[in-house]
Amino acid sequence: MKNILSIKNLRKTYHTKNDEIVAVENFSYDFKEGNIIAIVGPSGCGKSTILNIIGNLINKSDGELIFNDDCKIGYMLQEDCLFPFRTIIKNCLLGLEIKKEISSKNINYANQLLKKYGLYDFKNKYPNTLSGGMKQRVALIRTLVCNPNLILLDEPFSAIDYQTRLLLSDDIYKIIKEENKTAILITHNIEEAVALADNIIVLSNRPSKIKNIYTINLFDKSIPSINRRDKNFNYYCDLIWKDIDFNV
Amino acid sequence: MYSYEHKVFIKKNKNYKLLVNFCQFTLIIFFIYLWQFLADKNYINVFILSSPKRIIDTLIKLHISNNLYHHILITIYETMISFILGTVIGFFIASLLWWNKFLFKVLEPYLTVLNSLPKIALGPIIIIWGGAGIKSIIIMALLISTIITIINVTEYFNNIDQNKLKLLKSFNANKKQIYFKLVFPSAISGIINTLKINISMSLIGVTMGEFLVSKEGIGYLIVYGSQTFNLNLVITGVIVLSIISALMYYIVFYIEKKLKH
Repeated sequence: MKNILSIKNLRKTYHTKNDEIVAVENFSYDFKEGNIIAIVGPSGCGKSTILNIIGNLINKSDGELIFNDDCKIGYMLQEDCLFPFRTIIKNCLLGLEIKKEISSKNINYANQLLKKYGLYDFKNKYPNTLSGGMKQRVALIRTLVCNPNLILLDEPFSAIDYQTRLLLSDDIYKIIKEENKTAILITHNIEEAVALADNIIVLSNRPSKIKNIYTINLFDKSIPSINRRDKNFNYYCDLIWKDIDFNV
Repeated sequence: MYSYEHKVFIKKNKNYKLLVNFCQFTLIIFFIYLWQFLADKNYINVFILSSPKRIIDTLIKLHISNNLYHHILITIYETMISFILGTVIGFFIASLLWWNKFLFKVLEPYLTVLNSLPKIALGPIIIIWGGAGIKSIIIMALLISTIITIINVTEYFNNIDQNKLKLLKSFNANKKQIYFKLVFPSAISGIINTLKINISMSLIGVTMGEFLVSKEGIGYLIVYGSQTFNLNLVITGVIVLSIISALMYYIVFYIEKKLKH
């Protein structure tokens, strides 16, 4: 498998008036195509910083990011960030509109995804009529219609209830695997990371360094909700839990 | 089809609303009646405080001399022009200030000073600039409504949800796209609030302007009344003015309701 992204010696320092904070230091990793890689670590350790740098939302201080030539990034944020004044379909097409890639083929794809996720009837409604889980699904569709092959997920399930969360992680897992996409998932939820990811990077307290890297070998790897019942599931959860320096 | 409990709830709600309306109505009737009563019994000096009957007489006189509507229309006309101009200019400048953060930082203290400066103090200068006519009145009203608009709209623009901004940036949106796709439409509901403030501000500005320079309009009627010690005219003017302001407020309020749905 080739690398979709290689990061070498990444460093990020934040400067404020009174302080200089090293958020990430010496972070190197090769992201393999088709994998789901989870990054876990104590809160405030700089997980999101890494994702924001990959997504080109903030500048790195030092280091190297080597993207594969055909790498197209899609970002899915913690909140659904739907625009209240746009209809569901219009929200889904936002990214395409901005990239000026609106075409009948893309609109068709959006409609197809809306159907698949049971949102087609809400197509011309406004976001305030939708539940939290539905909104998050719209956000997912908005990311997917741009057809990215590297999807950045910044705690995408933290704002929704447990049930929807399980269903949605199954959905995301299926899409990523079916369409051979790569995903980087940031989460503070260890179980979620183990259930979804192929590899897990554990970060230390700030300044974030890689503390450990795990490859998740379950007996019968399947969709996340079934993975949670795997014999090895708890073993990995325990292992990673012990690895993370929790700040209380 | 509704349960008994629900019907009781609806009825209670309705009764409460009726009671509020009833009290509002009674209050004004009682006030007018009391005023007239005190005037009739000579407990108050009608020369200074006028009376409802005298106000109606004044209104009829103005109606017969065909002046009333002219003055009302002039005031409304001036208010509408300053309202529309003030909103457009204020909006435009606020957009510029959003576009250029540096400019905003530089101008911020000046805006604050201009906002807190009592604009009436500029009256004499405005008269010299604009002459003793409608132009000066509109400049006065514009000074008040534009600055308020700039400050309010800038506030809305600067309070855009950072996550939505991040989302657009993740799509590599440029500044123009961010403005038209997010900043402007999100501020719309806030901006309608600004319109409500603005219509009042314009009326205040126009009245102040009419006090200073005019030969027509409700503000002029009030000043003319006070100069000739015709307190009936003054109080009539004030009442007409409050009716105009209430009407304008409710029109904007109605538009707001329509736009939100």
